[in-house]
Amino acid sequence: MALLEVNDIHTYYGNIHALKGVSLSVEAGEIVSLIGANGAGKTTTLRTISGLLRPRQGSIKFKGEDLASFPAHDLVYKGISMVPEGRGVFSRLTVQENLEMGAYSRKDNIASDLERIFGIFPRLKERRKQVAGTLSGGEQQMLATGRALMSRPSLLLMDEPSMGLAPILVEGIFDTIQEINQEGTTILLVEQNALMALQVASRGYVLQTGEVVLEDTAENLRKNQMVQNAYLGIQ
Amino acid sequence: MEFDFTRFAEQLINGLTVGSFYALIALGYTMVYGVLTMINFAHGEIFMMGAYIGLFSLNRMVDAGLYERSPITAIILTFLAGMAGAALTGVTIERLAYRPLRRAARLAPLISAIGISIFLQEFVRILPAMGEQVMGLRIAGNPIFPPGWQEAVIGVLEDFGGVQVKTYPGIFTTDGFYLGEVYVTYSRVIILVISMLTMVGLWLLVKFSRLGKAMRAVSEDKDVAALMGINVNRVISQTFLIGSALAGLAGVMQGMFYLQIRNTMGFVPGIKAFTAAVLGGIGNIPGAMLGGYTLGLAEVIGIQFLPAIYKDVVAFGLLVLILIFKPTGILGEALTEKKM
Ligand SMILES: Nc1ncnc2c1ncn2[C@@H]1O[C@H](COP(=O)(O)OP(=O)(O)O)[C@@H](O)[C@H]1O
Ligand SMILES: [Mg+2]
Repeated sequence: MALLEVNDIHTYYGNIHALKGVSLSVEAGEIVSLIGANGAGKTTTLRTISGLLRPRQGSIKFKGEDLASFPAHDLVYKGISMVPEGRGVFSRLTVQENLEMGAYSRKDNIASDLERIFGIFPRLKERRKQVAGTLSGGEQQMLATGRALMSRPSLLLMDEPSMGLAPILVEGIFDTIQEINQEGTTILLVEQNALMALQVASRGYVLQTGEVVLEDTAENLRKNQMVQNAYLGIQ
Repeated sequence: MEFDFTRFAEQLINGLTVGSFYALIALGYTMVYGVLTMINFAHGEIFMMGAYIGLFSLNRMVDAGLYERSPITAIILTFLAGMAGAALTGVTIERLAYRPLRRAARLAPLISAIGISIFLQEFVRILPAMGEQVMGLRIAGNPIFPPGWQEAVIGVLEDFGGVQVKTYPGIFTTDGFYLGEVYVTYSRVIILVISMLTMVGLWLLVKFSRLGKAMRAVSEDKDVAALMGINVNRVISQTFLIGSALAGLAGVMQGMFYLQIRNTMGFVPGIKAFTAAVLGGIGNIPGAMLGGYTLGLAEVIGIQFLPAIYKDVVAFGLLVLILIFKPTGILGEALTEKKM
């Protein structure tokens, strides 16, 4: 049984049919990449999985349980956590408070988790008292990632973590993604940066105007002619 | 006109007292604006409901002899009842009149708020008359309710509301003390102390408690707050609960210290407190406190130079000036839609 099974979901914005039957699955321990051009429906897919949007049709199963009846705020208790597009840090809360909000779903002591996050991102420790709005883009990405990890998720959804970051920082982000995965967190990674995404992932899906047009191992996708032309900039 | 320092000092203390009311009520406007980006124009009526429910409870305790035996207990219970009643009113309004309109155009909840405001004013005013009509209902010529009930029910409703002004029992006297040459009544000191302690408590709650942090997270981004596991609707309810309880506290204080209450009593303080919230920076909690005291003081300073009846002109002139020259208020950010 896969950790996450998305089966033929259709999501709408009013009359706009944004997802036209998306199916995908993520096995425990994997990094799976979802790539596609701007507007393909990647964010919509993640927001539907996380419960912020409701599919009009289709089902989402996590650890075998159908998520249809749960509001978004219950999912973190089940083990799903998300780094939203554009990072979504609470800009008027301090770095530390943002991390505490990440652990809102937990009743136990979070001190060791804070230390773990500060171990991964030492910059956050230096700035723990600072309000998040004053952080640089790269630091905000670290914060959003660290915050999502504070709930100790079994599945981490990441929406374009490399967006808007200097190339030198992008490498670091993907290193961190692998590190987090090696420590036992399964990751569904949405990226426009297909090159990097397919390097860290074991499998991938290609999304085009709300539909999965291709799915394969990351290695095969990197060699695929269509992927090379459309997403890797190789002619 | 000669400058009379003693009188001016007395006016300043007066300004602080009035400012306490503005600040307490302004907090409700600002907290609700923080989580919903909407102005709850029924907030003045929540203040009024607090005063009415407080008085009704106090009357019951007077009847039961509790007030005579233990006035302090009765006074504290009156405050608690007024706060609880106002809180219940606020939470109910949010649930019934605002939540269904959460995704509607921005004007819709505003109109709903104005409707609720009129509804509550009229509800309090016509409650006894309404009771009389209901109790007089007949089926096939026979009264539904036994005649004995009628009197009891109408009596209770008349004790609660009605057309006339209602009066709190005079609990606090004009006793006081001299600070230099300035006479300060104990009741003003009590108002200041209760208000300030409450506001410090609120500040601590917002800054340090789990709920306070969740409120701040919700006010920044509801979707991301939900991803954290925060039940956004519950936090919004709790925000109405706290903001309304503060208005209820102000309502009971109004009754206890100024004695007379009426169904329209929420209107002017409501608008003044809204002014205070904008003055401090709408959505900003310390701003609401600062704005309340600034407005209270500005009024009393203004009437040093102008006839006293210009007090409201000072307050609303200030509102217009802020909206023109510094719409963000003293501590706030711009009035924007981005937080929705
Ligand atoms: N809030 C919205 N309202 C209406 N349409 C939207 C909204 N968000 C996204 N869309 C539309 O849904 C489609 C998928 O968008 P999105 O999931 O954001 O794509 P991606 O993340 O792959 O760039 C696009 O056509 C986009 O215009
Ligand atoms: Mg996107």
